[in-house]
Amino acid sequence: MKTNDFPPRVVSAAGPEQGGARADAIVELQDVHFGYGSGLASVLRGVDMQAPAESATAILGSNGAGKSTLFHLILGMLSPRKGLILFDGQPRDEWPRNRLSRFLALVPQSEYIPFEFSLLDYVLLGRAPHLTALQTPTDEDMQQALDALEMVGLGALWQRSVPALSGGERQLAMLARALAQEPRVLLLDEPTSHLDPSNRGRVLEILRRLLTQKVTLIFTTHDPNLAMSLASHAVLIRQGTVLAAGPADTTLTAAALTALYGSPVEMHEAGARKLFWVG
Amino acid sequence: MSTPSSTVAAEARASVSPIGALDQVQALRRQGQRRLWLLAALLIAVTSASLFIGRYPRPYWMSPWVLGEDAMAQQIVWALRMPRVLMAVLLGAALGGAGITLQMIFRNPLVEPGFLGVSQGAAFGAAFSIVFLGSASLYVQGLAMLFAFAGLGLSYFLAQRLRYGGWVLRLVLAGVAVSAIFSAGVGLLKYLADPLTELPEITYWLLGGLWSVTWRDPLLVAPVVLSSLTVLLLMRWRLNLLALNEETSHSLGVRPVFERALMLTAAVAATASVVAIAGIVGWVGLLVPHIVRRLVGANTQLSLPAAMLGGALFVVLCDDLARSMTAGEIPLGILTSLLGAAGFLFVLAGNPIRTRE
Repeated sequence: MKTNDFPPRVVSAAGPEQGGARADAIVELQDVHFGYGSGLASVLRGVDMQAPAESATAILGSNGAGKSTLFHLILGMLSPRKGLILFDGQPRDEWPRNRLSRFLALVPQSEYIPFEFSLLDYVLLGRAPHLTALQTPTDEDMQQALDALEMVGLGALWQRSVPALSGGERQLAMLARALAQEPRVLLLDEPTSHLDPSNRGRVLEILRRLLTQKVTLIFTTHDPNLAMSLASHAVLIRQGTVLAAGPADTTLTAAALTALYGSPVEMHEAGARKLFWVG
Repeated sequence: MSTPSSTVAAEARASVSPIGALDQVQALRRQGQRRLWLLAALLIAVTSASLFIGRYPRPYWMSPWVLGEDAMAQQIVWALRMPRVLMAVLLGAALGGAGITLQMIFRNPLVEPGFLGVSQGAAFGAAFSIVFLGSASLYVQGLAMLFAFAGLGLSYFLAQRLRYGGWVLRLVLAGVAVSAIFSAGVGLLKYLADPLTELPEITYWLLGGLWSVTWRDPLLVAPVVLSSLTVLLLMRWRLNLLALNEETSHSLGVRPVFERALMLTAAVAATASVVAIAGIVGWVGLLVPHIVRRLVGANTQLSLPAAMLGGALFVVLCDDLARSMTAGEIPLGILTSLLGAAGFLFVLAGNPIRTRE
């Protein structure tokens, strides 16, 4: 049973997605069900979602709502019990492994690196999808990795050891590795949650620049203000079902967010901006 | 189809001055490669010199000129020292290469190749043979190898059955349990063994050493060891990817289950083969990766071959000491543990975070 009756699902009234959302969707989930182990409760129940190409889609939900599971399904680490996952309109199962990893890159929330890789060697790992199993990186790959480091502003630190980087720099390093993959879609798991305001600003600036360069972003966040400022689309997930989905300005409302988090959310208008206040 | 981020890369290249960064990268890479060749040259030099180290005709050093005149010297160098030195090279390369491979796969710099029940399995096999089948080297080595693989298989099997933690933790737990079971079995066999003949034999085997090596031994294990090490060498850059988060490595196109199993099997097969001949020679696979990472960096494209060369160098040197220092023979395992543990402390006491310049 779908419980996306509140608020009524918004069908976009404006914007290029109108009516054609499916055709434009670069990543699409159709009625996806998933549960860990048989007989256990489902984590996701009938999730429908579309991420339009060349724009940012925010996924919001409480802890345990199923956001991580959703990412693992999209990445192909897990397979849905039922339903379809489509990339560019083509079912995920029909994508060869290497092509998929050139299409889709992941920036995890954090990563534990037990060895003292140099920053360049670390970012160079993002070239793996462009190499066969027995190949080693070429000069071309190294140039790509250097470019990705320049892109996130860490070009000067390429010799630095990764464990010696600050938390913000490590986040940028993971982003650079994903960029070295040259993906069309970037999955970001809470891209700014560990960051101080200055690093947060840096990451946001880079993500905005990526959007102008036709990269599609799909990110999870606990911060409705981040979703509002970066994303054109939002998907609200509560207890494994889609509560609301659609263009960010109509989907992210005080009522919808209150229903999502189960605690009061107020919205304030500051000039042209909407600001959310939780609690 | 032009991928969007190639424009990203192009823009970055144009907007920021790369001031020959690629040249610097290449220079650093060449420096790493030079160090690797240096290590290889050093190994060849030490291995050749080792043929003249020993207790004949007098302690420590035999002049190469003696070889021309003395038939006994020829016999000793050809039939005893050469296979033994060769075996030391195989032993060290296998332990060093397997050590760094396992550390990457388990994402833990404190793992060593005897892990996963391999060492204790081999010890049990050897002790079982000594007590029940006699101490003929064929039986001892055969059973040691059999049980080394059984240790791995059992650990792997149990890890799949456990319902606790992630894949790495399950394998570690299974390995600890299997090692403990075999170790209890060794204890039982020691208790049953004849204290005058069999018990010393078991104890001596457990200390590890190459004193009984003849040409048969390196030739017996070389095919397994060399083919396993070749697999690891071919996948040396790919190994880096296995040290990342599971979800990251997956998103980079790695088939984690298959690739891990392949490299793990290669590493453990090499280890099991050499342990069957040499007994328990500890600390090589733990210490050597730490040293070579400091020498050529963590990237396994260089550090994996460096660990094989470094492991071989370390074991050949230790074995030189083992057979020349005293009139008797010092068990190799005692020396590698002593020097290995001391070296390990020394390395860890140094600056733990290393920045390459």
